[in-house]
Amino acid sequence: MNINQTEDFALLMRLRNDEEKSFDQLFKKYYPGLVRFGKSLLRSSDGDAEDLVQDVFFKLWEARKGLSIHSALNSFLYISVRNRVNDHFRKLKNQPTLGIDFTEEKFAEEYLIPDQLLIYKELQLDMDQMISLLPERTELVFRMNRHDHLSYEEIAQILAISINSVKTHMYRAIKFLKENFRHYNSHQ
Amino acid sequence: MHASSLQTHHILDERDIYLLITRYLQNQTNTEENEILADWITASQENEQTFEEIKLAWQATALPKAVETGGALSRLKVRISEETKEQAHIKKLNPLNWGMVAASIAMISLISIGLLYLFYKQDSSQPVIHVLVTRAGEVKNITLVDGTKISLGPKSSLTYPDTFSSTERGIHLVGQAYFEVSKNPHKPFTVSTAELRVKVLGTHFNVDATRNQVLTTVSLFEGKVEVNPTHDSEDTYTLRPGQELSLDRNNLRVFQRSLDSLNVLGWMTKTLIFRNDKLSEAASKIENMYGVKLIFSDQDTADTRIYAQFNGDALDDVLTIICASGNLRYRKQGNKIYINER
Repeated sequence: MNINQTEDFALLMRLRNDEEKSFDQLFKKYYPGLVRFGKSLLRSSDGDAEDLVQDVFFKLWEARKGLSIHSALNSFLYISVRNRVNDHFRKLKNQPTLGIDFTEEKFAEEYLIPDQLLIYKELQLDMDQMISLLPERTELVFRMNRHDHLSYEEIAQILAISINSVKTHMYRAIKFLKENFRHYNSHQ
Repeated sequence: MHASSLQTHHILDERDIYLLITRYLQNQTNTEENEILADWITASQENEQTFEEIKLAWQATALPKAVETGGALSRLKVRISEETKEQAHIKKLNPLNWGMVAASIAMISLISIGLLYLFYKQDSSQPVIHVLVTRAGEVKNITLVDGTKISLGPKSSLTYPDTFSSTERGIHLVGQAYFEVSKNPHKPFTVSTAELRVKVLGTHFNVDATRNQVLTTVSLFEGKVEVNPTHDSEDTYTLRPGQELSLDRNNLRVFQRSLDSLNVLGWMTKTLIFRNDKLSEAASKIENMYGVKLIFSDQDTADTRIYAQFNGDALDDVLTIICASGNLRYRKQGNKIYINER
């Protein structure tokens, strides 16, 4: 039980009493991350992922009275998005691409080299833009941990990858941001 | 967390260290891991520099760039209100619309899947969350699983789990409460409110995060606490016994001063103490004690200073004395009290 979870539980309890404000807060907090996740699964237009995440929040609102709360909300929302994507693919009678897409990947040399960093420095990017420069999957994992407070285990479960690859994503993200931050500061 | 815990006799590579540092910065490490990290940092100047750099970079990514979610949220709200209307309509006029029936079955089953998931998680030793709520004028006492004693003030709520994790103890407060935290240096105890977090190792203190009040205040009686404002969680204030810290919700300014224990803990004995306080500041205490709402006719009335002490007095007596001292008048209508100048 961490601090983020207790905050979410408090919001959920208030949601049960129809407090729309706490619903808005939860929406603002998790919508961007869930849309990013949805997009990465769907590999299609932004609109689809947004609709799908809205469906998840719609169901949360519908079910607010009956929700008995025993689990972490953030991982619950991520898993709901994943399930809806699976439904979506099933409906399209496609092969569920999840298994293939999210099997252990090889992170190749997607890595940025120092010369490129200098260019970014000239562009005056802030840290959030720096995060956006990470390889897509690495960015997703980093933000799930850093901004949506999911543990390595939860991320591994949601993305159906090993904990070891979650750690590798995190390590690469931290290393990249650390190098950048130093660069950024030493030139200011 | 076991899977990501470190083994003592393991040789740490760069990845382990980087992850250990960020987990440390997220308060997720245990004592043993903290020791490993401390040893590593002190081993060389280079290590120390790496630690500092990761810390700075990590802190700089604390908040994602605010993403505009207002548009998406209002679209969702429109959909919610439309579907609610539609369902009411269909119930009344067209009870045998099978397409709709199918849709509701689908929806019900989706909800049940959600519930099943939640129950399933409960079985896998997730803590059960309790919420303790008090009414106006009510004080409830509770002892948590770790022995921590809490008195919850009127019109407050406390969210707490029935078990704590192995590394921390976290609870959430809306309103006011007094804490006697049981000592456990390996598991810091954290109280979070909308505005700030208070981190302690074992101590006695009061948190006043009453919602309709301008100030959120942490008052320390014994021990040591660290306070982090939510809006700037890198900022840490350390309090000493006898001190209190207040955060002004209007301008997010923080100030420290020495505390007045009678004033701070008055609510526990149903005592109201006003020492040259503005009526507007006193209002929330009166409201929470008596379950009423105070409404002032103008700013001058709200700014009237009052100096008084009450101990379990009837509401009318309290109002009469306050009004007499400030040349004010009050009128009751239901649970609303209108106050204006004479």
